[in-house]
Amino acid sequence: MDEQQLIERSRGGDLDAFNRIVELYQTQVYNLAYRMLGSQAAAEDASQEAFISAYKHIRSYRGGSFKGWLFRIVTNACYDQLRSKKRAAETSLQERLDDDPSWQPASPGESPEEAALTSELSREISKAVSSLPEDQRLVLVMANIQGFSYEEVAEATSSSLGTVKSRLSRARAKVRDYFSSRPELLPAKFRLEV
Amino acid sequence: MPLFRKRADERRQELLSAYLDGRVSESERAEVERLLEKSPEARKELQTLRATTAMLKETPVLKPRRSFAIQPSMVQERPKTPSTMGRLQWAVPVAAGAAVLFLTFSLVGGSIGLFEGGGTPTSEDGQQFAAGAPQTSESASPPAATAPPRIAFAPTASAPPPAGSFAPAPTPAPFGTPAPTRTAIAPAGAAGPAGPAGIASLDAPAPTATPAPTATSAAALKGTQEDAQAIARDAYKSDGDDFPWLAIQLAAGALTIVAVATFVIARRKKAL
Repeated sequence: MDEQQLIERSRGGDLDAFNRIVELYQTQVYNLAYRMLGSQAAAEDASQEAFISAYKHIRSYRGGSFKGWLFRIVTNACYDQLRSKKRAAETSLQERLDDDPSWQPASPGESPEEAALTSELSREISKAVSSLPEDQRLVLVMANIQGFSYEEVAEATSSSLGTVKSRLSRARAKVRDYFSSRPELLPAKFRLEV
Repeated sequence: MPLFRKRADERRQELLSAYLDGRVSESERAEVERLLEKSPEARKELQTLRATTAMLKETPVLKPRRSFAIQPSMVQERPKTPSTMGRLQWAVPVAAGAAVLFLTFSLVGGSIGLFEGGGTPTSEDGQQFAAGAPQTSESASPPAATAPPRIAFAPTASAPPPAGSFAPAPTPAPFGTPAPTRTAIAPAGAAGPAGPAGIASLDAPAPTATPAPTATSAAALKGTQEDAQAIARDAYKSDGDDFPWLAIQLAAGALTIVAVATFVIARRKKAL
């Protein structure tokens, strides 16, 4: 059964069909939420809320990019979480980074040095991404980390292609500047010589 | 940095970023390539941007710790139990209505003289006074009139008027509300147009000459006047004490605040 058929059946109230869609997208959804929120618990909450909302409102989907439609809901769920986090002043940046799952033990076949380097790099990337303004962070994660097309990003963020280009450019420049001042953190192949 | 320089740098940066992703038009591509050819700075910038995007693509993909599959219980419509704010919804119109009523009541009532919160003697006081006067005769106003006549009387007359000029001046009632029919107490023997003694209508022509009272009648009149003043003072005082305008207006203010606060809280809760 392809995605379109799953969508049609979901529109008819078939929860099993919708859960197949959840399986298709949950890793992407969770990763976007995690990169936006910086906390596993908050990312899980936002992901679950987004899927529940998508199921409840799937009748409002009227064709076009389903991915763009779904990620608009995810984006809104992330903004809701960010707002509630701001209100509660829940966790500091350091606490959120300590919650970074990329600090998990190395995968088999990776030497301890490589694992340490990957882990350190991942942590620094998380820090650099977290330091961006929310709108730039969202575009950078979608386009640069998750490989969305400009059109998908524009649909998910309800903005124009020009805005996507501009935000992405600024976000990349900021991340570049962040690592330019910390060259020792980068593996040789990523060394930025400005 | 001058603004035009900053904008030029931003445009160049944006072009290079889009060029990296192959998202430039033909004319933009030609522009970028010309720039790269002549500017080592632009070439360096493109190189660092390329390294940055390559590094970001290396960001590990995280595996969710759990599935986000939806359980039927997550999407079931639950019977709505009214929240605390929901239960308080009725308070908004009730408090607002009460506040408006109280405010209107006090403002309109005050302006038409319905409630003279300063203590003008009431008609009952007037009747009481008239009954207490030993020698009075009916004025032009008949007793069966719907609105009993008001007695014009200075409630704060600290110094009694001298004997012989007993009929008090038609002092305006406190708060300046004119009485529909005003009467003045005339001493016994001070014959006015209405009779030798009693209450003379102020609306009627004033007596042109008042003979001096005798010593006996002056003493009696003085006693009567003091009684009347005491009654009027009591009426004045009790009016102000019995009708708690300040409390009513404070209640109206409090109800208004409650109505507005409940409304604002309900709206904010709804917005969340």
